[in-house]
Amino acid sequence: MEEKLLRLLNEKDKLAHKMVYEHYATAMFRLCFRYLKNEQDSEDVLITGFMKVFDNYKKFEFRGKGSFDGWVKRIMINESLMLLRKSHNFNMVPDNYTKEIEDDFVPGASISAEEIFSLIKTLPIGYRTVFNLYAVEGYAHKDIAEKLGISENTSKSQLSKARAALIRLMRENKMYPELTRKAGGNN
Amino acid sequence: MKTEEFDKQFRNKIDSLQGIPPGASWSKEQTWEKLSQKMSGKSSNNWFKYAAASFTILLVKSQNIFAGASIAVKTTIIVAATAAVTTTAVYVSKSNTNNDNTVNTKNNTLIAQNNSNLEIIPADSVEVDKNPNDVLEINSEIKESSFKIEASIINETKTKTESETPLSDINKKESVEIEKSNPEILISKSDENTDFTSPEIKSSKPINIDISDILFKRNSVEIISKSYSELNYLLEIMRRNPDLKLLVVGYTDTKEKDEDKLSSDRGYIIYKYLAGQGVETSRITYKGYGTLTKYSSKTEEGRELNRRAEIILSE
Repeated sequence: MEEKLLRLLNEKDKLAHKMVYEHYATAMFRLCFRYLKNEQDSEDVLITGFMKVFDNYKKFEFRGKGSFDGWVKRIMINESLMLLRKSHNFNMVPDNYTKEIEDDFVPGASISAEEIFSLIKTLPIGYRTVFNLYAVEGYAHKDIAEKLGISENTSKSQLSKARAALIRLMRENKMYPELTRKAGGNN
Repeated sequence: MKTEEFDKQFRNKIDSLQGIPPGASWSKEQTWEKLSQKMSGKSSNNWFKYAAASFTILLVKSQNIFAGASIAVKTTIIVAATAAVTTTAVYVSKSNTNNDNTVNTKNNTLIAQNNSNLEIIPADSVEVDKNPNDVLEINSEIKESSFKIEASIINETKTKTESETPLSDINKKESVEIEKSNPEILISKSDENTDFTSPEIKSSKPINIDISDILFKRNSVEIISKSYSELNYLLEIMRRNPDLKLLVVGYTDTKEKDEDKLSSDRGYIIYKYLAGQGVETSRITYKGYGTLTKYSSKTEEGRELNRRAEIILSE
């Protein structure tokens, strides 16, 4: 599928580009929205992001299933981060102490995915960005530090604070945990 | 590790989400419009809005000479347009008046665009495919009533014909006919949709169903028997998933004739088959991209695989 999309991009006509856009647009909008929290910014980033995809796809080397998807995603994330960094200095970290997670609290089946998505969006920008990058996207602290212009330690502390904030939010919203330990455990 | 499990649960839930977030008023189509305009550096004039004000003008007769059963000529248009009034754009489009006397346009190629009162002398040349029964039209949008367009067609044999259109002749249409060529091309289109205007698409997770290419016999739109099962598999998928849309792109191998029409016809025949089996035509778009090889064309196996139509699904 991805190879077909790449070949389509070689065509000069709009239909081909539109096809590629159609393929990724909604998922990428969701992604940007998760970082940026507002629709207008998300749309702007979507546009600049796709421009970059269309301008630079020739530099991309296909490395197997998922590689083009990943490349498009990375472009969108980077564009989102660039926008965030324009208006926010990630080094300004509030100094309150937050407990580490101690209980076996994980969001279970009773909490819907949309609720989880909204929870993340309600986090303050620093927690939200680091949590998104680490927990959802899977970046390492080293990379996060580089992307945001912060230290690895700041990244780690923002992450644990994000998790604690999410737990607090879930409790406040009466979202109940599910136990991770079961008899005979197959986790 | 508790935190790993925590993160994983969040990630899994997020990954499972499809579609536009509830309550969001984002329009996928509107964003495409903005993106599309940025890509072509156009101003926001959408020429479709001016369709009522545009009209077709006279065309030129082509004097092509054909050798044997194949079309040996490529036709080039050179357009020099002078407009005394505000002309927003000059386009060349190609249409096919084969059966039904329906005139369809495709490949609108923008030659010149000018938003001011000045003259436009684009003198640009546009290459046109060599296809039988093609009618070449030059469309112009104007805002006032008087203008003049000159057009000429030059073919490979270097004969040149010119015409000038005074205003009074504007509503007449002469057609250019390129003589019919390869009798092996069996299909004639009555309808071709080039505009993939999708309605608001709710979900957009990339479709992980991969349909193998449908393969064809040489110089033909006949599908090889090995591909029947794939085509029927595709049909089933389309039937069971009413939200799915598809794009069929036809291709030719390097040794086939009439690549543009043949590749487009290959797309068309699959479109026709699916439509005939009950798939709504609004869900299918077809195109031909000529000879864009996927496999090495040095071997016969490679060429067989290049004679194909590719299927791309989206929601």
